[in-house]
Amino acid sequence: MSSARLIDWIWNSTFRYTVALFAAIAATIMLSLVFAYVTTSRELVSLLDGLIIQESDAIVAQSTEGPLTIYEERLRQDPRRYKPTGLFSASGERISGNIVEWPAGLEVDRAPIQVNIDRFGPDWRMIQPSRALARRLADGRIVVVGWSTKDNEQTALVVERGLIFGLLPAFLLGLAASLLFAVRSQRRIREMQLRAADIVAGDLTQRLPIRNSEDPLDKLALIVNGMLEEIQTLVENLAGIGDDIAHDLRTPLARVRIGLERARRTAGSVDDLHGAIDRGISGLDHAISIVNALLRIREIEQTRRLAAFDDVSMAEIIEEVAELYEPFAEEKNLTINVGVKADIIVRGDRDLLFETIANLVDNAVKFTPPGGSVDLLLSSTETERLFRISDTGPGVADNERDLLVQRFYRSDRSRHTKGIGLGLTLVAAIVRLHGFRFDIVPAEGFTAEIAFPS
Amino acid sequence: MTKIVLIEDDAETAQDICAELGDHGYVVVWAADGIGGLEKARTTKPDVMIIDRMLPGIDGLAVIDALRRDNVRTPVLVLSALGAVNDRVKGLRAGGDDYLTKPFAVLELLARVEALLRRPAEPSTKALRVGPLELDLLERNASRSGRAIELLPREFRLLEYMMRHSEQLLTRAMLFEEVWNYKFVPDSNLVDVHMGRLRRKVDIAGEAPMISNIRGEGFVLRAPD
Repeated sequence: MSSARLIDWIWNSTFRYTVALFAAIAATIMLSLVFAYVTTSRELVSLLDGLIIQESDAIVAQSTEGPLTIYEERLRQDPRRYKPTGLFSASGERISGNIVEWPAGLEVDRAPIQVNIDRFGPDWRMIQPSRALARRLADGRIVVVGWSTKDNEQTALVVERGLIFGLLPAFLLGLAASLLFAVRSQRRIREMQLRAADIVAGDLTQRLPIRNSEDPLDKLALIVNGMLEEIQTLVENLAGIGDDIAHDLRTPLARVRIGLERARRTAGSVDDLHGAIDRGISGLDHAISIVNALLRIREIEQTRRLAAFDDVSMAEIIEEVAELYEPFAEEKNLTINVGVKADIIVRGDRDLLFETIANLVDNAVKFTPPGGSVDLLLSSTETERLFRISDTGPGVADNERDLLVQRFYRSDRSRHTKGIGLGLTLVAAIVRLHGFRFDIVPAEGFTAEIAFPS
Repeated sequence: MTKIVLIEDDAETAQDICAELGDHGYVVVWAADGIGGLEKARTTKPDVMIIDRMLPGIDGLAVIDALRRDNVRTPVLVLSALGAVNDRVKGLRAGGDDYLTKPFAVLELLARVEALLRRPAEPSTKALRVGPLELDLLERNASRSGRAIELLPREFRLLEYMMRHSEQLLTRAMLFEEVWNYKFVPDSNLVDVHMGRLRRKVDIAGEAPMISNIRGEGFVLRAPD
């Protein structure tokens, strides 16, 4: 891995996100520390100012009466070196105290200010940042009373140390965690990329890997997998239809060809030729009708929703389909029985739903031997609203039925089942478009159900 | 010379339609969008218009609205994708216009154009007559040369529709839409069986047949020569 790629790789969005999050947290902590520091030091300053004003007031008061014992006391009682104190002449020359020289910037009889005081002890000397004020005594001399602000500096130190020893390790820890996280999600994304490359290359059976369902990446993968499922079904449907076209068209086209060839060889009269041409035309019509049916199925499968959904009475449709097929059934000596226990009103396209039922009845009437019957049943329970068609024909074998169902729903590339035309594919497409469920049920004859949502 | 204005944005479909209609002696003027189509409609004054439902720019139905505002009563055949059929499209038939959903057979388109060109007889007539065939719409009975014909209600509607559109090719889908009131392309056998029943009642032995089957296309009712 080149260094540029490494940087790219580290600088992916997960990592960036972690850093940004961490920076936000650090900024918050720092702000609150600074705020605490500022507030504390401000309070400390006003406290100290109060103290030194009181003390200087006392010294000034004492200077009118006699010896400056409070001043002396202050000088003595300073074991922790908090209290710079000094006595100066009216011209600012040092007289006594622990202050080396007049602190720069300090003026007489003003409010306390912040100054750096150069002070000393028996064996030491230091510059001490302090709150201080100067007061003129009764005899003209000036006393300087200060209070070191080193407590403030200690607060600042705490903040500083807090930042260095608290925040920095946390930052490093966070950095390490985010790197780890980045590495892991990067690895997963890489896995997904590889899988996606397979899918793009045409292997639609592949799915994105899933670890556990809590991870947001997993949730995304689940959504993508759901989409893939649907795409796979559609693509294989199309492929299946391609197979069907070839299969369905070959027979009528071959028949037309043989018929025309034979007529060319053997026809003895114009009438013979006309007959052969007519048979050829009807064979080609049959082929065209298959192509049209396929185009129509594709149109229905590609339609996402219909503009004109209406309340449709299934009872009415079933009765009208039965009436439509009645003469056809009668010619074949079949009975069509209609059992409507309760009308079912569904949201749908009236014409397409009619076509669905008509296709199922058409199928039943064609494949049921003379003397048999076709039963149409509409029933409604609390849990289910159902249309069921069953006939006394040969039905479909168990394994064939499975293949049929797969062909409609999982779209296995099963062989086109002999005798089952495109009608059922159309039925499945329309039912799917409406969001209903279509099933072929194991039974003696051919039995199928359409379940409508309650 | 019958003129047709075709508004269809898909060039390939338009070519197919133009070729087929041209073969049948129509003059077809093609426009690829609604604006062009409206202009062609104004200049050529067509007898029928074929308008795609989904057009770039103006929608096909808006084109019809614009025509009607100009008081142009030219009958219109709308071509619509299945998903775009709404109540408005479904209502076209009631207004004397018609629609077809894609994909459609060109023969179907042709038959419908012809039907639009020949407006049916006044709908309020009390009786229909085609040659020796009579249909009393009030008494709801039928006769041929004085011979009473017993008809079931559906057969009556079938015969009525055919008599209103005599001498015209009626496809199975058209018969189905009109008589059964469903937009549906039934298996050819199915309509043929119903038609067979009607035919045995209308054309009995010894009479010149009036109902004829045009192979692969549909049926025509004609007065015998």
